[in-house]
Order: sequence, then structure tokens, then C-alpha cells
Amino acid sequence: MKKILALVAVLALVAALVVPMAVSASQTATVNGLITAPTISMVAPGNITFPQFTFGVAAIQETAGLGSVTVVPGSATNVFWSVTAADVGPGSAWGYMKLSGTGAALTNPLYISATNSGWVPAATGYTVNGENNITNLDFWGDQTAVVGDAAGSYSTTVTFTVAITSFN
Amino acid sequence: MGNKLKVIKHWRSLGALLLAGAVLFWAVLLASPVFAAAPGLTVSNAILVSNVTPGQTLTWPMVVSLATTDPATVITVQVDGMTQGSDGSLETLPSSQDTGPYTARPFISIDQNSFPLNPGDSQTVTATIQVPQDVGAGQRFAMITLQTQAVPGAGINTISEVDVPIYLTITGSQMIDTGKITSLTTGNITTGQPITVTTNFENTGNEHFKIEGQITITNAAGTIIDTIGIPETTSNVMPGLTRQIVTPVTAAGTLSPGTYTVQSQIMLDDGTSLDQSTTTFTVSAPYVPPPSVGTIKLDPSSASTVKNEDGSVSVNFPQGAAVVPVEVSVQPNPNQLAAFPKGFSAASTTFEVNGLTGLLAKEATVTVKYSSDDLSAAGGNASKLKLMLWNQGTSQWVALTTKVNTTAQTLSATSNEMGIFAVAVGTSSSGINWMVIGVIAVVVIIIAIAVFLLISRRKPKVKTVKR
Repeated sequence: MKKILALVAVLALVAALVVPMAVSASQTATVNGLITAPTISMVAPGNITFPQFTFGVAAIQETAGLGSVTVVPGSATNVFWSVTAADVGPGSAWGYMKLSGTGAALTNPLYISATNSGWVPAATGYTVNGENNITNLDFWGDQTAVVGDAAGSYSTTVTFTVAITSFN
Repeated sequence: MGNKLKVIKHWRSLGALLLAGAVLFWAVLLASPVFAAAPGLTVSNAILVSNVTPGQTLTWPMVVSLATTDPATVITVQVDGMTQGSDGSLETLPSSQDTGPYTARPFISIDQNSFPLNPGDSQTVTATIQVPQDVGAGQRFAMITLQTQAVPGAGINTISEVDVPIYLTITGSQMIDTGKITSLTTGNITTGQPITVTTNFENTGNEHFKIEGQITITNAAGTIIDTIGIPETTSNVMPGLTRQIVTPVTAAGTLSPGTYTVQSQIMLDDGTSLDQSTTTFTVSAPYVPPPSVGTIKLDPSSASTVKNEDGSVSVNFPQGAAVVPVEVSVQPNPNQLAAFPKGFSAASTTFEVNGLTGLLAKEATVTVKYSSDDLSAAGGNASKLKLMLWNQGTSQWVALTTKVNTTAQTLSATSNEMGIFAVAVGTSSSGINWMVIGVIAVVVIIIAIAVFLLISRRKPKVKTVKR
């Protein structure tokens, strides 16, 4: 009797495993040429905190931690992606650091870079292209305050956007 | 004996204290929110490529999740149009601007626009795609965007966004692959610099495709001066959009004053010609091209050196480096460099050694004359310069062990792999990794405590036996 019960239990377990897989297969069969689509993870590089600004002196600061892109390729072999970093809001005065409370922008725009070279205005942004996994998504900020900029705490937001561009 | 036991107990207590401290240190270290302020985001089914039929309804579930180390956030989801920059980069198009005939945005609805998500949790977002009966022919495109909130604070805060591209092909409809060159221009003709030819190509068909092409330069007599291939684009050109292709042309020899004709031909990847266009440029004074590509036939039976014309780059292959005869060349790298790893920043010089597909049997020596720009990037300190090699397999830069010769102003390194090289500046201020030192210190302390406890347990037994 115990053996029969054990056999029934094993069969039930097998059925429980196989049935969902069969259902899943039929659900994804409509997707042409890509049975299991890739999964993509991105950790944006850490926030950047500048030390106190000195008028006229560029404050160049690297992110506190490196970002990463991780891909589970599914049915694909290689997954190609792009990461775009840019200040696209929220709020107004994109590309400028804003004073907490009033929202007044610094006179000079914020510059950003992935490599501490090739600086671009934050409102324009830059793109990093890659393949499969990387763990060295770096981020740099360059801000200069000038005489006339009000004292206070300034901030802005940079959005890191990842998208799969192609796969094979 | 009593004092000894007290000492042993004292040391045991101290050991336990240290052990507890070490455990606490590790707990704090592991729990430290190193990336806590950097929002991460994972999305499954992050791209949809599907054939659809008019009237079909398709559902596309995407599992959105946060790692346990991510901060809690609110995810916002929306459907946008898809477009491309002139360089082929994918971009979202707000619905107000997404009015083109190839948009799939109006077909797509999502079951939730916003939801809170805690660390370690996941949530399924389902897109329903209802293809209209009168959808027409070709392909349709859209983008589903999923975005975290910023963690507010002073400085630069970051948001993570995953864009899920949607590519739909209307089954049974006629696919049209056509296009036209909308402009063809040349840059300034400057001696010592490549001639830049810019081709703008518009996809006038109804599906996306990759393109390649060829630039041909002829003189006034109709003699071909140079022919340069345009490599296949890495991404498809979407219908209705224009791709800009910039081709640096290095003439084989000096161009005498006169008028020259540039022809640009754009093709599909199967060689089908899509369009061609011509323009002219004038050379008013003798034009001397930049140093040409250096090429050698590398033979396994002998050592060989390949260098570019001005000798600023040379690669010395020892006898037996190659297994079979192969043609190897050194040329400038015209492509934008990938980001360098932490601790390194770009200098100026970059080049590529082509022709080798695998690893060398023996390491070759690469010698590069660093430029004034390289030195300037290193703040005048040549010892900071490093030769970096792009590893195709791992898609990472590898810092080669670099010898700096300040007299000859050269950098040299050995490698059994060739490819794209770049001169970089090591930006690490001290070269000391305090995290590693801290971890080593803790491990040493734990081992010391373990050894101490082991010895202190054994000692009484030994004494008992002696008595």
C-alpha cells in the first residue's frame, strides 16, 4: 500500500512539473524565432555627491559604486544592449543642478561622462554599447559653480536607460 | 595553576570578543548598502520580436523585480513610440510625437501603469497587443518603458529604466526593402588627416534592415584612387528613418591638386544595391594622407615585425608565433572606445592589429610611441601610462603589464592576443585597495583566534598527561 502511495505521489509530482512546462511552451510558441526572450538587469551606478563647491573650480567626482548590466539570454546566444545616461527630468532645467527648495539652477550646466573623458552636457547624455554582462558601468560628473550662484544644496537626476538592441 | 587557568579564561574571553567583533565586522560589511542608493531593475521578456496577423491579440508578460539590495521604489510603466538616432541608437518617442505609419503603440495596452515594489519582490506586467484588421503591410514598432524612482538626495541621483522594444511583422504582407541616399558630403581636406565622407541614407521601405556599402574615389581622369568598404551596420535601419554613416578615407598616396569624385553605394547585406550617389571635392594644394596601414605576411618559420609608416607603433612577432602564414596589419582604430575599467581613463593613442583570429603560440611585443596628448592626459607623468587591450571574448579592457621608456618615449607590452589597443592613464591615486586589505586583516584575525583557541584547549590535556 505504501509503495502504491509513493508511486502515485511521484507521478503527481512529475505531472505537476510537466503540465506547467507544456502550458508555458504553448504560450510562447507565438513568438517567432525566439522561444524564450532575454531577461535584462541593470544596476545604475551609484549617486554622485560633490564636496562643497569652490567658485570657478570644476568639481569632478566619480560615482560611489559601479553599475552593471546582466543578461539572461534565454534562447539567444549573445545579447547586445545600449545604456543611455542623460538628465531628462523630472522637473525643469534639464541638465542643470537645482537648489533644494527654490529649484533655482546653477549657472553652468552639469557635464557627465562614462570614462572621465569625452564629457557631454547632462541634458544631451551619452550612450554605452555592450554585449552580455558587464560590471564596470562607471559614471562621472563635472560641475562648476560661479560667483552669483546661491548657497545651498543642489541636486539633479540622471536616468540610466538600458534596452536590448539585438541578439543572435 | 589557578593563575594559569585565569589567564587561559581571560584569553578565551578575549578571543571570543575578537571573534564576535570579526563576525560583527563581516555582518556590517556584507550589509553595507554599497549600491543601496543605486536603483537596480530586472525585467524578463525584455524584447518582443514576433510575427502577427491582422486581428490577432497577443499578450506579453514581463516580470519586473528588484534585488534584495535595491531600495524600495515605485515602478512606472508606459507605452511609447520607438525611434532611432542618426547613429542607430534606440530612443523612445512620446505619444504626442509618435504619429508615423510604422508605430505599434496604439495597439498596445498594459495592465498597470504604476505599482510599488519592495526589495527582493517581483511583479508581472502584462502588455496586450491587439493588431487591427486594417494594420497594413510591413513592420510595426513600439517601446514599453519601466522606470524606478530616484532616491532623493544632494548631488546627482540616478534612476534606472528598462526599455522593452516591440517588433511586430505583419504576416503575409509585402515586405519592401528600399532606400535612398539623402545626402553625401566630404569634410575638410587637410593634409595628414583622413578625408571624411558622410553618407545619409533613408529607409523608404516598410521593414527594418541592415546596410553596408562602398566608397570609391576617382580622379579627374576617371582613375580609381581608392575604394573603401562600409561595414554592415550593427543595428537595423528602421523604416522612415535616416542613418548617418561616417567613413574616414585614407588615400593610398599623395593627391595632386584637382577635382576628385566620391561615389557612395549602399547595399543590403545580401549585396542588393539600394542607392548610390556622387559628389566631388577639390584639392587646392598637394594632399598627403596620414601614415598608411602597415602590413606583413607573418610566417611561422621566422620572426617578423610590423609597424605603421611613421614607426609610432610596432609589433614584434617571435619565430613560431603564428601557426600558419597569415597577413597582419597595424592601422588606426577609427571607432569610439568602450569605457575603461575603474582606475583607468582614456589617453589619446589607439590602434588595432588585425588579421589574427586566435591566440598566438608565442607572445608578441607591442611597442608604442606615446604622444604629447597621451603625456598630457597623464599630467606629464609617463609612468602612469598603460597599454590596454580590448578582449573580444569578455568585452572588457585588459591592462597589459607595460614598460615605460621615457628616453625613447615608448610603451611596450607583451601579449598573445592582438586586436584593439589603447593608451590609458592609470588614475588610481595610491594603488592600495583598502577593502582587500581590510578583508585580509579580518581573515588573519579569525585564523589567529581559531589557532589560539585550539592551542588553549590542548594545553591542559598535555599537562594532565605529564602529571
